[in-house]
Amino acid sequence: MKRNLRFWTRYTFETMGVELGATALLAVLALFGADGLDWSFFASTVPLFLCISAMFGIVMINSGSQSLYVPLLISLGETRRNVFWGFHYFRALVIAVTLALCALIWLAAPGEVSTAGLRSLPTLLCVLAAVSALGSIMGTIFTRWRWAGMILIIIICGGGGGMLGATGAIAANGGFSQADTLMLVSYLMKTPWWLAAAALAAVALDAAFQWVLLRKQEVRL
Amino acid sequence: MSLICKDIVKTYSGKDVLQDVSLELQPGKIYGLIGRNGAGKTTLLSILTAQNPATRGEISLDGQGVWENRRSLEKLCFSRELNANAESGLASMKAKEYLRIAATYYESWDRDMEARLVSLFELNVKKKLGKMSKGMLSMITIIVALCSKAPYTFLDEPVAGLDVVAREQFYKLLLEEYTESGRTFVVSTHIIEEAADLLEEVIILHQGKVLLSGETQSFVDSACHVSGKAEEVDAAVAGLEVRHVETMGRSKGVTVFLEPGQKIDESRDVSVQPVSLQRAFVALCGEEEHK
Repeated sequence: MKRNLRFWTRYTFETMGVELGATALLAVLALFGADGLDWSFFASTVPLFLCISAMFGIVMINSGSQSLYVPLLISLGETRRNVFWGFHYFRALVIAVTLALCALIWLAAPGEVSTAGLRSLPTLLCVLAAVSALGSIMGTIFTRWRWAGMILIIIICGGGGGMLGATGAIAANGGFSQADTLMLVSYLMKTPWWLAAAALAAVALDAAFQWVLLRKQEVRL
Repeated sequence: MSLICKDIVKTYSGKDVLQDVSLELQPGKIYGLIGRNGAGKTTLLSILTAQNPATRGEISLDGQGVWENRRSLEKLCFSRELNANAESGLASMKAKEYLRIAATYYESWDRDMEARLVSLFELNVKKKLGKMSKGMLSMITIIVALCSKAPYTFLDEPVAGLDVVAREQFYKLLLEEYTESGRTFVVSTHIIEEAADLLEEVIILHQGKVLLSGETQSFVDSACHVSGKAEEVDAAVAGLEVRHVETMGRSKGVTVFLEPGQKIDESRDVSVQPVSLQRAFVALCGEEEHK
């Protein structure tokens, strides 16, 4: 188990490197679009870029891990049980490190946005957990049924990216009513029960689905 | 400490790829696993090392089941043939990274040996696996197998794609490691003639069944090639297990497998020659007529 933890911990920090790179890129793009610059405000928005990078990173990396690292570790003599727990540990650690970094940045850059950000951590945790479970399910489908998985990943990632872009565009053009904005903010401030339940259900579904397939997985490298 | 598999069956889409395979692999021996393409060699090695599940049957090491048993799995290493074109993403991994992960997972990994072999094979470990030739990938699998120091080590076609010099290096390294450590090696190979001298025991797999498992020398000694005029050959081998019949005009050559106590009638005008492991294997698994 020690070796397994060592491997997945190292992999977590490699993943975090990619995530931070993507965050830096998004931050630079946001800087280009800004009219004037309030550094304190800018710093408090960086965690949002980090969460967006984490969401896409987790989906993509989960798919890759399922098709490469899971069979690779089994081929190196690890038990399926340890691979299963190691993979879940990796995902939990990525989420924990992401949220810890967000919290640290918000604590370091006090302000209205940071206060709201700190209060939204439970909601962000639910969103990241649900997204991570979804990524893992897609990865399992991709490993097992190549093309079906690929199509699903394209639809979900494309759809998710499209929705995020559209939401951004609507917000930028003042398309959100006050009521819509209040509702969104309230979701961030107080985690809705259905979001927590959905995250839990996604994690449970992913674990069950993954274990059923992992037990019979054949190593092909 | 023996690795024992009992009545292993593996079925894919209703077809039995392995049929009631039972074997006992004893410590401190070099086994050769030979069989034609599709005989089930890789499947068997994958099942013995719990990389793939069997449809039925049991595998145990030292009396303990191997499946999901970390203690048993630590003693096994199956260095698979790497497929650089695989869609798994392995192609984009650097050789260095692959070796690093292997070193993490094998408790007794020998880092000095790794450095020595990388240098001996002149491998550029910064290269991605997908950019490596088949021979280079074979070198990587050899490095993993030897450096793992696992008491039971399985190699699947380790010399595929290697040039003759590298193949000689591999046989030498294998023998050195075997002599020093007394580990058990199971080597699946198609290049039988070259490896024959190394293999103490041979397991012949044919169409998913174990045709033979025993000492290589006894197997080779039990076979001989009888040639001469057809009627003389037929008379000399009457009542014996005849395989691989070759006829040319009135001449005939056959490979015969002798049971203990059986003899060729040497009063006949025939020539009796010993056969190589490869020839004995071809005679046993070939499609030729047999009596």
